[in-house]
Amino acid sequence: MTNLVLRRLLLAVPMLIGVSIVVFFLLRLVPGDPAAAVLGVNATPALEAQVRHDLGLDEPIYVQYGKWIGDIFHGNMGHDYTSSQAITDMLGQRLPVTIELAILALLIAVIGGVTIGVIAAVRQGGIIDSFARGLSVLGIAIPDFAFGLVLILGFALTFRIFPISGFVPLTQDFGQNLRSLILPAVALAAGFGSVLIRITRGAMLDVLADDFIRFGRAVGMSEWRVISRHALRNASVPIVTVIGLQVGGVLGATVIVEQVFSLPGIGALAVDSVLNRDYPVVQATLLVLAVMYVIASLGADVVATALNPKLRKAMA
Amino acid sequence: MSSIVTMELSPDVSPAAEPSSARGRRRRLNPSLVVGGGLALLLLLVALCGPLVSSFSPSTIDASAALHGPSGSHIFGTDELGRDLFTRVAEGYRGAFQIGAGTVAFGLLIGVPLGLLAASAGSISDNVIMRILDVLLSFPALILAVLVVTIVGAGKGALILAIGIAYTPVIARVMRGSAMGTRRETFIDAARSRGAGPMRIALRHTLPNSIGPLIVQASIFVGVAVLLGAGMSFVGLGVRPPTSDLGLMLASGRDYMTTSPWVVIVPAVAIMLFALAFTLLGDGLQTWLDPQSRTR
Repeated sequence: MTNLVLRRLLLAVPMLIGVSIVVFFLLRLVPGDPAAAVLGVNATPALEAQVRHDLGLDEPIYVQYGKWIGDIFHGNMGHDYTSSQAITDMLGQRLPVTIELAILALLIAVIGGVTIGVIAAVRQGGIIDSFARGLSVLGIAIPDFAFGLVLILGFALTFRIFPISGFVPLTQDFGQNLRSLILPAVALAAGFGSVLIRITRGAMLDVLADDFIRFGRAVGMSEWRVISRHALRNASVPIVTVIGLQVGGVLGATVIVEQVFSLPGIGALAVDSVLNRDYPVVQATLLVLAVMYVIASLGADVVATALNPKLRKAMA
Repeated sequence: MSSIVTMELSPDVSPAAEPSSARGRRRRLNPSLVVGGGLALLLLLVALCGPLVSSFSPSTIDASAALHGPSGSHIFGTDELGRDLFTRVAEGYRGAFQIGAGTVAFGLLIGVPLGLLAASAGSISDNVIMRILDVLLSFPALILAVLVVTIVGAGKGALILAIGIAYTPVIARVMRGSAMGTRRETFIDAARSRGAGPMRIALRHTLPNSIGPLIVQASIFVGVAVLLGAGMSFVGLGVRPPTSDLGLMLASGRDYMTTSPWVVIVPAVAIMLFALAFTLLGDGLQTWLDPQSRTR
């Protein structure tokens, strides 16, 4: 098992290097001179040269990349152009919001999606099954930000159960914190949960058709035990794999959903920094979101392998 | 966003290599295909003819008609500037079809040759191409699209490029998977033994017989691309005002949704119908092209 985790970790290293290279070099393609952007109206050629030197922009690009990566490992991602705040501080404030939102959304989607998917498969062709199939198609089609607006309209403006927007930190008040995140988490979870309904239902139908399920029932095992201990367990590999893939979609969607609910997360920071042309911040936020995705897929990969005896043996 | 996953599902779809009638199975129309295809055609009709039949222009501002609810003259109501929402939705659908068709065309043009090359040209080029694509795939699609918009700026063209680039790796991977399957078929061996060169095998035999999963993928992509594009326009990283865009309509409508909910509900339902049409169409095409993997 340790061997397996180590091997997957090693595979993730070139991936992370690739991601950092893409983020770093692509943003060098942006037209315009960062030095001029820092100076704004005060720019003179001499000052620009000075700033370029201070920022290390007069060095060869691979040296700049090396320094950038080295600095990141020392916890230094540079400063934001406009407010000169340290980017690591900004990330430190905003990362918890996004992580909490993403985890909450994943929880809602996984619990809801898998439960509905299992019931739909067990009662194939029944009312719940038709309902689940309809729900999964609608959930995939509805855009999360539009769904978010509809949720605000319904649960914050008409029935004032949840706040319209804003965020209360976890450290301040747990109940209020949860209240400020429920609507955005549900908006994020809708699409993801719908995909999980489909996957779970399909995987369960495959497994339920197997002989060992019939055998379990024949020897008098309770239906609950057949489903939870045997069917769901065998159906779990594709489900976990898809969860891993979906984490990327959820992380990407935070960029938009945080904007809808005015949450001070890293996705909102990414959008603001793109609009303000604050490239060091763009670089940092996109890198962090992509790295989170790589780590999450790695985790899902390890779990899926650990759940599957065949793969587990192959990796050992 | 459900975006990435819908597509990750398809790589393991077995290619519709041989005509299914040969296996004694008839391709039959299925409900998803009929409903999805019909809805897509209807929306295309709205996009093409809507602005022509409407007596309003999508951009003319009429302060006296601001925020009127749905009525006989404005069937979907008007927005905060008195613009007719039906006309704006129809214009928005034009943009949506452009974005959908543009991104899919881009993705196919780059992704299909890459995938075919990876499957056909030996393990070194396969490894090089696939490792580079793996790096791109380790970005959430929306993040990659934001990265591209940062470089090229906002606007409809930029949006098409951004989403096209974000989904090219997925198309290339589907193409490679499908082509790998086809290359194991006996008729490829037969062609080779008749002396067909690698180029001919790839283009004349592998490609046409591996295209099935791509058609499914392309249809799903149109819907996904429009969802993603609307989201980017919504936060200001896509289409710019005053162009009619469904995402922009939601962004400007949110300030008025308490008193005039239709300014949000109309574009929201419009985007949903679009995505619904192409998701169903993709599902339907998959069942139609490969009756064996009938979605249970």
